[in-house]
Amino acid sequence: MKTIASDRVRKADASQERSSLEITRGKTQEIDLIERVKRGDVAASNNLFQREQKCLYNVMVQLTGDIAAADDLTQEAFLKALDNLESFRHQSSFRTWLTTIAINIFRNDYRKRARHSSLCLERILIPANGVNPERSVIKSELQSCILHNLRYHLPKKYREVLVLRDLHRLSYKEISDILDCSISRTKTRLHRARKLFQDQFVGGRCKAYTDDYLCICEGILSLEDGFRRLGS
Amino acid sequence: MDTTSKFSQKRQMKCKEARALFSDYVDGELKKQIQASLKEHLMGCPDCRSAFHTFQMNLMILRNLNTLNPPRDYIVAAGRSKKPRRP
Repeated sequence: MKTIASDRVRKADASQERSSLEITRGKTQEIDLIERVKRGDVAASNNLFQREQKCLYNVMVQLTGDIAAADDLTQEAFLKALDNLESFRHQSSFRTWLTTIAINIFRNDYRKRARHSSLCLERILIPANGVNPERSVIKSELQSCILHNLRYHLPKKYREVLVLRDLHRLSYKEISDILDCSISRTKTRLHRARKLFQDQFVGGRCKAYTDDYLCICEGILSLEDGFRRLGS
Repeated sequence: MDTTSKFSQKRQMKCKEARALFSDYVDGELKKQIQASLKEHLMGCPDCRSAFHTFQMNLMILRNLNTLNPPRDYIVAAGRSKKPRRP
């Protein structure tokens, strides 16, 4: 019994050591790559930014809810990162540093946008009554509803922490570095963000109407219904 | 208010306290003692159990949001507008 337990501990230690080595190796590779970019290595620059573009683009989509805006802001973030790369001193991961730039660009852009864009004006299609919708249709509408709720029903400070934690699985430390607030404040905001998102998503009633468009998040699907249909 | 520091194993956890811990619980941030007390509360409280289930399902939906492919490459030539390196 003692031998089996000792073996397990040894294997766990070995696995942890391997993970630490992999992290260190990855960090060393990143440092080397960035230093090559600083020296003007075009191939290294392409490699570095290509690794990050999908993640950064999705952060912008999830924060803005606007594909066109996300495209512009992502480009702006990469240009700014390249222009300021000399100042990057590897005190955090490159992704954390790049995301910090992106968040600041998003915040600046958010301040400039007209107030009325915060109204819920999007039309969200729902399956026709009496027709059994396909799984892919249900899932697609849920996706739209998530982005819609993020954009229109979650204040910016809650949206940021929810996107970074629950959609991009960053650690509390990374998020607190990016958002420039303490870890305890990050946790508090996350707790409130999740509650707010849930209240809106599950039981939300978006009441903004215009002549042509109706926000039909309300009643799109009950949470339980959505899960049964997704087969989860 | 730090709910976790106020709570001890001997006192029964109230529903309001339990629900305030959902977020930390799913993130693995609770101490074992608090975690055990929360689990005990959930076992004995159908309302909180249902609330936790909804909380988990909501997170699961959120975390399964599809990622999109960027519409273009954002690669910029290393030489473009790069500030010269200081000697």
